[in-house]
Amino acid sequence: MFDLIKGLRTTAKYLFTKPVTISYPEVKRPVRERFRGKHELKRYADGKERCIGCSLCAAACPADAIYVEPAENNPQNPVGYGERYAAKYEINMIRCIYCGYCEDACPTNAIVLEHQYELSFYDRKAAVFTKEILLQPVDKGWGEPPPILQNLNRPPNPPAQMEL
Amino acid sequence: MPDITLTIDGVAVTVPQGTGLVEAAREAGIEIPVFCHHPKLVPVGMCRMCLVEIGTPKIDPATKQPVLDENGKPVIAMQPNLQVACTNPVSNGMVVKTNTAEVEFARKGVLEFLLTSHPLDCPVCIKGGECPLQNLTMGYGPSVSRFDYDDKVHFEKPIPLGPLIDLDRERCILCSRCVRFEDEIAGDSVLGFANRGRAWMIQSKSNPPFNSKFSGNTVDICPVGALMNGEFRYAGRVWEIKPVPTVCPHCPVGCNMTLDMRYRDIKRVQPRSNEWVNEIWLCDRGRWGFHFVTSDKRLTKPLVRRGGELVETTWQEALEDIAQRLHGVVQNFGGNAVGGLAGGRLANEDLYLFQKLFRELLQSPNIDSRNGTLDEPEHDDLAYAFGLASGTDLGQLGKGTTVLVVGADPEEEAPVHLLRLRGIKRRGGELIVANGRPTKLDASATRTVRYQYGHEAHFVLGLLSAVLEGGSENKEFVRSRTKNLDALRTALRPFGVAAVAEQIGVAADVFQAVAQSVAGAENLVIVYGREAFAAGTPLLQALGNLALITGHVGRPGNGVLPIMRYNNSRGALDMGVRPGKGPGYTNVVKEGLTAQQMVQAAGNGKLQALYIAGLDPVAANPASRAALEKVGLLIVQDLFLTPTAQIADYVLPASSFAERDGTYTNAERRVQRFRAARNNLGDSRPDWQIFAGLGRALAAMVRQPALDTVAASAGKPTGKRPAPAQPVATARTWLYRSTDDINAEIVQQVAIYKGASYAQLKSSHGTWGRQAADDPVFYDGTSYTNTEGFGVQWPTLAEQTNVVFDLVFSQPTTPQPRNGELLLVAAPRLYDGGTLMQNAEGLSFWVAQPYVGVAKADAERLGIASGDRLRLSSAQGNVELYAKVDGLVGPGTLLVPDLAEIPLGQVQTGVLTPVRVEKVEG
Amino acid sequence: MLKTEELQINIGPQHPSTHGVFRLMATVDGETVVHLEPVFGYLHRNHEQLGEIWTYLQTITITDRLDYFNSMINEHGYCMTVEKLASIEVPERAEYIRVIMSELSRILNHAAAIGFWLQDMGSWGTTLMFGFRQREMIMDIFESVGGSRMMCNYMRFGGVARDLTPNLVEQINLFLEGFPQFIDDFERLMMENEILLARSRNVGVLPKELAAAYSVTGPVIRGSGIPYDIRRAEPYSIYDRFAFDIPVGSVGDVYDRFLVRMEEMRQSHRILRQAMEQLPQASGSYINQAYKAASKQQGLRLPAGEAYCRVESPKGELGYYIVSNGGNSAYRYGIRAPSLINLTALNDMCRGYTVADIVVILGSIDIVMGEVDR
Repeated sequence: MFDLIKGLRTTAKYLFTKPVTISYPEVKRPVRERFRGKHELKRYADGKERCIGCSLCAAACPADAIYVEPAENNPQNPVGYGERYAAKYEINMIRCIYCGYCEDACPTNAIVLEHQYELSFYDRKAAVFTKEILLQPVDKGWGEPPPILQNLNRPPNPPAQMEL
Repeated sequence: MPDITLTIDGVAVTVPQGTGLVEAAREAGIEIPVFCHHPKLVPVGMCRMCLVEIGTPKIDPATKQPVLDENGKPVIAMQPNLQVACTNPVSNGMVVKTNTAEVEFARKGVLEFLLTSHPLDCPVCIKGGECPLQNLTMGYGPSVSRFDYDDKVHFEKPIPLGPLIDLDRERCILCSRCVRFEDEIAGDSVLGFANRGRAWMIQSKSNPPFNSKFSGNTVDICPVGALMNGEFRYAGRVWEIKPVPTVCPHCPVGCNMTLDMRYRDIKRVQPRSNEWVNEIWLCDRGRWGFHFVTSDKRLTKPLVRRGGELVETTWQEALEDIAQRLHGVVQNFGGNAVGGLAGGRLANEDLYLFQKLFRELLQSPNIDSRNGTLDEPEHDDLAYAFGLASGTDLGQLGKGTTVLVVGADPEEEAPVHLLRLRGIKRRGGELIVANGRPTKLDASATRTVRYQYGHEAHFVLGLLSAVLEGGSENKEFVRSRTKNLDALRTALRPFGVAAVAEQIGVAADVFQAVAQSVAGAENLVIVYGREAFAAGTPLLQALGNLALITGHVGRPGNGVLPIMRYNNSRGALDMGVRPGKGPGYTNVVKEGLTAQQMVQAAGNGKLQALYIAGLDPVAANPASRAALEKVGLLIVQDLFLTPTAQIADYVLPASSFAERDGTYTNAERRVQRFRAARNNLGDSRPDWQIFAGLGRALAAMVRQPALDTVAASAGKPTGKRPAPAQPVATARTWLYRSTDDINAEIVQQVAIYKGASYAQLKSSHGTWGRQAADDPVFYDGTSYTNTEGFGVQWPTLAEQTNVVFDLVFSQPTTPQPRNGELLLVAAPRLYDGGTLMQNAEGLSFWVAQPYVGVAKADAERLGIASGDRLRLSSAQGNVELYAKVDGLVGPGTLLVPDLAEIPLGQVQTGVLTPVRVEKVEG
Repeated sequence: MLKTEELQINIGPQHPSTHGVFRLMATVDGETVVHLEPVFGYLHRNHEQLGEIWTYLQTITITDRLDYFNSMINEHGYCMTVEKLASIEVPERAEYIRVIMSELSRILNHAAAIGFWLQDMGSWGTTLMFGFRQREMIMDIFESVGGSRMMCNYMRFGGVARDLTPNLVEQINLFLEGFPQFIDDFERLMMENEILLARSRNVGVLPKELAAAYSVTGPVIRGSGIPYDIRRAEPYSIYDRFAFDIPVGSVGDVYDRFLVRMEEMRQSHRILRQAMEQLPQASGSYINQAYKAASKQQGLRLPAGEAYCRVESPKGELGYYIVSNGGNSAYRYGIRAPSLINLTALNDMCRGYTVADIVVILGSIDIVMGEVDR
């Protein structure tokens, strides 16, 4: 009998401590900095897309969740730097295991796993996030394109020909 | 050739003399990185990537013997500088070091240099993932460059090198593989270098640009992403692609290729290495001609004619109705009232079931694999007896081989054969091209013979005479394996060399020289094509006799190579889809109607039902439309709603080659397997499934009595109740679950296919090429591991040493144009714009405009200039075309490209049609 | 004497106390269990086959999903195997981080396991939440270091994905400070509880010999009195640097396993204290930088060969076996899953006890179906 009371004493002690629970969804628990949540396709500061449609994220993905369909940039009105951009960029959020390898594989830091974790859908089709959903707003871009990409857009400089 | 033993990195390896060091190292399992070197091309040593240390045994100048050290081993004198491995042939006792610090340093330097002008855009480069430059940089290169990125040369890019190929000049490392391929292998010198220094670049020298039928291969052998398959550039990355092994459906070469699938889409076609067939090459039609598979004009539902309209129906309904009606026709009119045409585009399994359906269930002998047009040639039986003996590898033949090409244009009919024949010439063989007009092969020939159209057979008979007159026939062979030589000699009397020479305008010494080359050669390959078929039996018979009396049959490297119309025309004959011969060229009891006769019989109401699969008689000859419309029950099975299908009672949608399994037999009689890559389109079904479904439905209906009456009417009236001639088909025998079942039956039933079971087709060993995925990199991305095997070449009759052949003579006939008439010759065209070229936008550039080629002499005589509109008319009808005056044909002949756009069937009355020519305004 | 008849009843596969989709075919005679046959495979995911298709790096992510309470330890074992095969050196600092994560994971597992076990016994909610509160704090640490609470994907060949920042060190220290208080409270709350004792003492006894014969491992074998712990039997990583005891039971019953787990949490805490103290002096980086650079350039291709490595997971001995043929994914890949092997002794543990005891005994083995079925 005494054992029970001993246990109850502990229980009673905790009655007066502050509860550690958070009443989600009214209160949202902030995630840690390294948290891997919903993906975001980033832009450069000038609003151009970082993604060059190289499909390396799809190659790195263990779950085969990413589908990229590249297309040729229109030089007059390019979507990003270089000749290629992702015409279609889809992530199947049900397949995704949030391992973050796509982030590691991306040569232009275009895809980043951000802190959004509320991912629920009413049907399976809705779980396929298209490029429109993933893409960051135009004004939220950051950073300058690396020189290798900037160079692609400079005018051709073929070496001068020797007149023979 | 004597073998050479040398040591590479301490590994002793023995290789034939003349082997390059790179190949020798590969034998030893050591990888020497290369860019410009390619095993199929002559080494040039341009890229300097293969630098190694080479040493040879020191020779004492006095004794000419190797100097030995104290251990009795030869002293090796290492060369002071690094040497390129690709251009250095092996020599005895040579010592090669590929892994020293100096070599590694040199490789790093070469790579760093190559990368100074390379844009390093691997993530967006379509070659990324199968790129030798990428792989070798990872494997041997420096991880950093001292070159400032801003100093790189920046070109405008990409620029189209041709309608199908894009060039990115920044990526190019100027290895010249593409230039050398076009020069050496393809014989189209259309690429070249321009400028120098940093501005050095590849450019097309031809007009129209990159005018080669093999341009796609340059993309494969390009070690960087400089040459790009225009269609594939943004189609996905190479690692996302799953290659499905298949066989090209376009021409009878039967190139091994893969359909590169990304999910459900065919993204590109790549060659699959098969040294027996296509080595590692593909022609552009094979590579870019797959788009018909995804055409939106494909049939997806069975159609039935109700109230004059074709309306959709279900398979069950369609098959049961057809079975019912066919059964009714057979019961009422007998099997002879049913006919079947199945073309050489179907697979062997389909064709076998087709003939089984007709011969066994419908009791009909009327089946054929031709269109029933008037110019249709005889079926080719020559290859069954004297075809290239099994074990022949055109890619190995060389010195001592004579190739006689008669009436064929390999570039247009079977492009990859052109490469293979050129290869024989390159290796020292003789290539004799005889034709009525110039073809591309002329440029590679050691001798060209130009005869007049209509005199093909005379030419070969002249050759026969020359051989016999010169006494250079193979007497031993003639005695033991042939008979009736004397009769042949007698028959040949009017065709003596002198007489023929005069008649056809070829010098007599040409006959002597060709005869000498043919008879004296160790190996003889006789190639003949569509124009030879047009010349008919006399020519084929003469060619067979030529091979026989010179003893060039039944041995590997010898025989005839007929280039037929469709990719599986050979298989159609093998499977007995022809009147008079059953599967495996066996004789059948009842001689049936030929396609032509069937069309006629349809016209006069004797044919009650006609089943057409994979053929289009109406498009081939519009005049046959009226005849076919009279057929009570016309069933058409095709991929598209062809003109024939439009008048059909039932239209059954068939699957394309990409959606099904099966085997094709190529011109060299090699049976090869292809695999399904996609799902069936809509409700379409593989042909064999349709035949099997129909067979099941029919077998259920055909009761014993019905069969008996048919058999009784066919058999001899003995008074007794006759036993059924054929095994009674039951529903059970028509239960084919997959092509494996049919193959098993074919192997059992068809003697010549005994060795062609699926398991045996899969064998792949003993040839050089990329066998495994981890093989040292030679042609990265070029050819996939051949997982489907090399196929099986079935043995010819001549290989059975106890068979004696009859030397039959067949009198040649010459079309006699009446006064003012010209002979119409249809020249085969690879890019014919036909149904199989649908949707192939890249290729449409190369489809010629319709024209008629007129000889200069005729043009002057008739007052025709290029651009005039001509009406060609014959007894059959007429066709109007624009004239092009060129020197391609001799006087008296009109050359019309065989394009889908030109309704040649409207005028053709036979194989060579004499036509009247008149100018019309317009 | 009543004439009784044996009856077969199915517990599961959909049953709240079977810890996942797991089915027990119990043959009972009245209330007494005569025979018990575990049926599993409902959660089979082709783990080993996937590991032969995916690259080595990609396979790390699925090891997380084996025993999903202990992703860190699973990764640790897998990475060690690949490192052994490829002879990749792991820097000292990385080893410390790995040990810290592993031991945190052990505490996490035991806190949850005991909570679930008590819940199975009927202490609805309270005790489970007690354990979960600790677990939550550890998962928070995992989220901070690895980016995910459960599927951490934190370890890499040659070290770990990211370094421990001073903030994180502080976070871990904070947890360690509060932990003894928790364990004391927990003990006071439960250890001598009448009901607990009644239901767990002399229940599910697994004698020493039988335990060894079944080759069960982890708290189950230690509860039966055999002090077998890989960390001591074959010290891996840097476990030979720490002082810790291996608790053993005396009877081999359910209660002993409970006690062993409680004590193991204390010992883990002890290791953690030492590790956190030594961490600042540890040399090297959080990952083998030379290898990281090389693998970026070359990709990871393991030399042909085979390797087996085992770690002490909270469930027992977790072993990975990899055969490489020189490619970038395993030729053969196999796992010795402690949950599965421990489960084999279930029949002998349950025989003779009542149906109600089955759940308690099953809970005391502490299985995770993700690992059993793979």
